[in-house]
Amino acid sequence: MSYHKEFIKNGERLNGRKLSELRVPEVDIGQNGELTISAGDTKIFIKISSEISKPYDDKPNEGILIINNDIDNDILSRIVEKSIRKSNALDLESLVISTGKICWIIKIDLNILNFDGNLIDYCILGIMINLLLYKLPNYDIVDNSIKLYNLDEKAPISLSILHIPICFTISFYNPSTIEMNLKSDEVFEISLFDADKQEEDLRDSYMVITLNSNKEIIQLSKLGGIPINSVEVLKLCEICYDKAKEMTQWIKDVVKKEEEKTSDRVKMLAAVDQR
Amino acid sequence: MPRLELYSPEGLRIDGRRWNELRRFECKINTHPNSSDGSSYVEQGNSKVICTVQGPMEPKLRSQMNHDEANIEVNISIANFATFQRKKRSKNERRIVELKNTLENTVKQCIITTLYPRTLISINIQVLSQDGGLLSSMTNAMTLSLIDAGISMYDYVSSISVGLFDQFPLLDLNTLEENELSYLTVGVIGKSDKLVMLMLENKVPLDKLEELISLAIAGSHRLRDLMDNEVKRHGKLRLKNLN
Repeated sequence: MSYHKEFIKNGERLNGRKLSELRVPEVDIGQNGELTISAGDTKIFIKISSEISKPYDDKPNEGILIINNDIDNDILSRIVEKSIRKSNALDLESLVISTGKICWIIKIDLNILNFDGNLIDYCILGIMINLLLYKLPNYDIVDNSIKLYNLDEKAPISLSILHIPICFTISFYNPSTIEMNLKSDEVFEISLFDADKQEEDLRDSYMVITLNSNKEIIQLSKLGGIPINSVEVLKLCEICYDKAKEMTQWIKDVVKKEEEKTSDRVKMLAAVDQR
Repeated sequence: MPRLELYSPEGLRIDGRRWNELRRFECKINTHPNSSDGSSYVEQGNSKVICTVQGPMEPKLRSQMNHDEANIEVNISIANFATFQRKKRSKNERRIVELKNTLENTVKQCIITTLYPRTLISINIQVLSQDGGLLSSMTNAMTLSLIDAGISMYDYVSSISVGLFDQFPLLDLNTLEENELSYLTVGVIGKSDKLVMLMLENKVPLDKLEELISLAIAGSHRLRDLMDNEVKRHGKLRLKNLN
């Protein structure tokens, strides 16, 4: 433990990455709505499912989005909630079929298969890729009742995603004493990105930033822990923005590649539809 | 309902303040001397918070005992009548648990916990009336009652919220403003530029963040002075009674 901490104090990491270097995530896309994302040894399975339901009485113009996680972690669920639901990443109004009567209910289930640090970032990343790829079955309204088509019967509908939130967790380490941290004006605290489990166990504090490529911060939380200079925080935000741009491009590439795979089938279906 | 004019072209806000003005900040310490070791009452505009501190004391459970430092526990209860609409809140609501954890982690940084090994410091916060700046008024009340309890601290923790209206940052929001604007809450230890707590839940352009944070830090420093005045006033009063 102390050996590892000594290492970080010198600005090096046991896993050989640079302080601001992220792990490269791998995405394994299964059937519609099933996706496994892994980075290092962190592995998360994300399942999206949908049902027809009735909107909440106080929100007749909105569909329903439910995000569950199997480990019942308050911080994780709060940040996922703030980043995805509160920021309106998924356009809930587009899920309404008939105002106040019928709407889609989208359920996202997070299954954490393996933990090696940085769950929050990869959960949000995985959810966004999955939402971008997810297809709702097409439907018709026949005599006030809904008829659903199979995915290969009629071209399915994509969800309307308004923006792509990207989340970064930054871990802070205090290489000196508490007094130094409080009284000194110098910035000597070490900040590193995408910590693995060992590094998370050692950190003194952390900050979670969610932003999108429109240069908007969606959520920022530093819930206590060692104080960090405000100039440093702003600097980190800028770095995160650059990374978010790259990440957004990466997501778009992944989604495009996957859609090309299925597009041939969709084209065929469209031809059937026209007939 | 017509959209409220939150910030008039003349530069006045809904309650007549300018952009960089705090609401009336009143605080008292040692309000409940018989039921606690330290207590305080904070009014920030119409937000009203009571905070009491018990401890350092022996923890009831062995599991709450830490051999190197004091264990700090924060309990929050928000009165049913605290908001405009009467509402019953459970203690285990996710949002309240998040606030509780935030306060615990924040206050740990400013108490010299190593001076009180094997003890428990229990902080109870009662929110009587909520009118914006929930987290910040709770933090300020907590600081004052810890000082009243005579617990060794490095410095004051002060906290304030700032919002963004169009292009203009506004200091110390009330509920009406909080509902309409995106805002962030900042917590600072003493008169430093270092952020111990930072919470932002709505969209804010990255370019505006610097302006918001610097306004919030200035506001927090101002609150620290106001709290310091009250502590000094109370100290003098006690000294007078002693003689």
